[in-house]
Amino acid sequence: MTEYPVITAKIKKVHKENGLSTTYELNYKINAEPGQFIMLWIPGKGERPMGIADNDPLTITVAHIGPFTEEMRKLREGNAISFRGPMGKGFTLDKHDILLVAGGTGVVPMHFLAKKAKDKGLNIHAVLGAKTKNQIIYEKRFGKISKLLLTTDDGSKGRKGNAVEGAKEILKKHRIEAVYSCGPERMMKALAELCKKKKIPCQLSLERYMKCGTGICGSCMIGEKMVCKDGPVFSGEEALSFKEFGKTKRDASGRTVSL
Amino acid sequence: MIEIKLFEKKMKNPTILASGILGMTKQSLERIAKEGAGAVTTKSLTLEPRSGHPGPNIIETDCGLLNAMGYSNPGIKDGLEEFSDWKMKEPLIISIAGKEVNEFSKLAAAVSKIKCTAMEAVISCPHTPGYGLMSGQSDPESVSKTVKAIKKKTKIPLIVKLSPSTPGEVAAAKAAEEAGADAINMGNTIGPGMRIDLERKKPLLGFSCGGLSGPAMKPIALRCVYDIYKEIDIPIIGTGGVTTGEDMIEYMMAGASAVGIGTAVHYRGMSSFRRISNEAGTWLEEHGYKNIKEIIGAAHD
Repeated sequence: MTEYPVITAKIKKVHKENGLSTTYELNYKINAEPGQFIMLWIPGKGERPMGIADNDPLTITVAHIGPFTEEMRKLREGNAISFRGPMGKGFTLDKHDILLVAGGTGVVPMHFLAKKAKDKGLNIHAVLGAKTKNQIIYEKRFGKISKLLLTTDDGSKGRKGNAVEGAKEILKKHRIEAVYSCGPERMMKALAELCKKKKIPCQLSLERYMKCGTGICGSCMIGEKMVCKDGPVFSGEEALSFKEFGKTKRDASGRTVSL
Repeated sequence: MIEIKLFEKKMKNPTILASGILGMTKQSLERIAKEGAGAVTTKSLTLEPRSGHPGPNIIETDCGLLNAMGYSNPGIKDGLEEFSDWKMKEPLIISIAGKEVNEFSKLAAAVSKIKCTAMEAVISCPHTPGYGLMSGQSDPESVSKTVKAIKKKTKIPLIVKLSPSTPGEVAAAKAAEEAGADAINMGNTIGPGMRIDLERKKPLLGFSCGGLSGPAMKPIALRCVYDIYKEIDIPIIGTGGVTTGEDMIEYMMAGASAVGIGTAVHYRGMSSFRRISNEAGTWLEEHGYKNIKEIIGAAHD
């Protein structure tokens, strides 16, 4: 008996989001919760954790930022994709008025969460933050399921500033009972501190170098927790208790490096 | 009832976190100790940092796990910085892996500078080029040289980690004892083994093959412990497939003074250490034993 068998599915649709990222829609329905992830395997190239953008059909969006993700640019419709999962602990939706804050490719799990929240009939606000206009992805999809605020660091689209400033604006104007976020860790730290000040519970999806994905190898430790098994979703309060949060992470060898 | 002593240091129970499972950060070891481990072992440290093999690094099989981590570790310098200043009462064992005798000497000298209960020299990895079984490090002659070189550099008790796949494992254990080792850990994963993905027609592990751990290797490692116990006087740590309290009792009857636990974390979570110890305690009580030491080697005449 194996808990995480390798599943191989075919790519149904390849959609280029922009120069940096591509979305792959598979002919597979995954039984996953928003916030969970898969370990994507490219034979001969390795295995990497990937956020889930949608469960039916299973959809992932990949930023081509290294050799592994560069390799993925070669994938076309009809090609095979192999993965294990879903893995990890996802988000909990237990409030009605919610705010989703996504930075960069953090939009991926946030989109899946927004869809589930929409199915549950929740009141959804979303902030999508990017450096600049052409790095905004998922705008249309979020537009359909949430009240959307865009932010760009350079002001080329939406509100000028970062996603946390966008979140501040929404928290000022609207009643929000819970905040969810995925994105750059410094951004999430600032958001967690803001939520703590405002006494609003928040849940954050963290990222660390992962190898096994199943709570054995210890590569993804933060504090006493394994991001792959205890997370990747942690409460803002718990995240703030990790001394590495927003500061350092470990590389493939386990050495400490700054974020 | 289940307290033991290892190198004069008290252990609340005979379970030891095996090297390679978690153990990359001090905080992960602290958590394992809180979850019930009697002692903890770090990931194996090498002279230089190593990123390890490409993934997948760990794959399930029907009877255990296959792993080919490839000794990923931050290197001895950063590693010892990480593990120095260990404050918990559970003994800390620093694992080291060298390519040759000279490297083991340097590693041992470095480990001697920090506070730990023991160091464990791994000479039996089945899946990393230049190390262990892939470079003949557990031949009796090599074992003897390595152990002598380490003992020259340190007074810290030395555990030598062999594998049931070590050819002539009894001779290797005897050579280690004669050269001055303080304990034998039997053992490392066996194999190497392999799994192939049918759809992709490719080996599943990034390194193609890897060491097999868990229930599949238990009868083999257990037999090795039994055979080695007959020939040596230093303590033996029995490692391989310990998943329940009864597994632990079985190893101790074969001659183990303590047991290493790793793959059980996959099957039963981090609380494995506490659960296995409690199960063993209950078994001993039900069978009228007063102390776990009474069963060490009980399977021998």
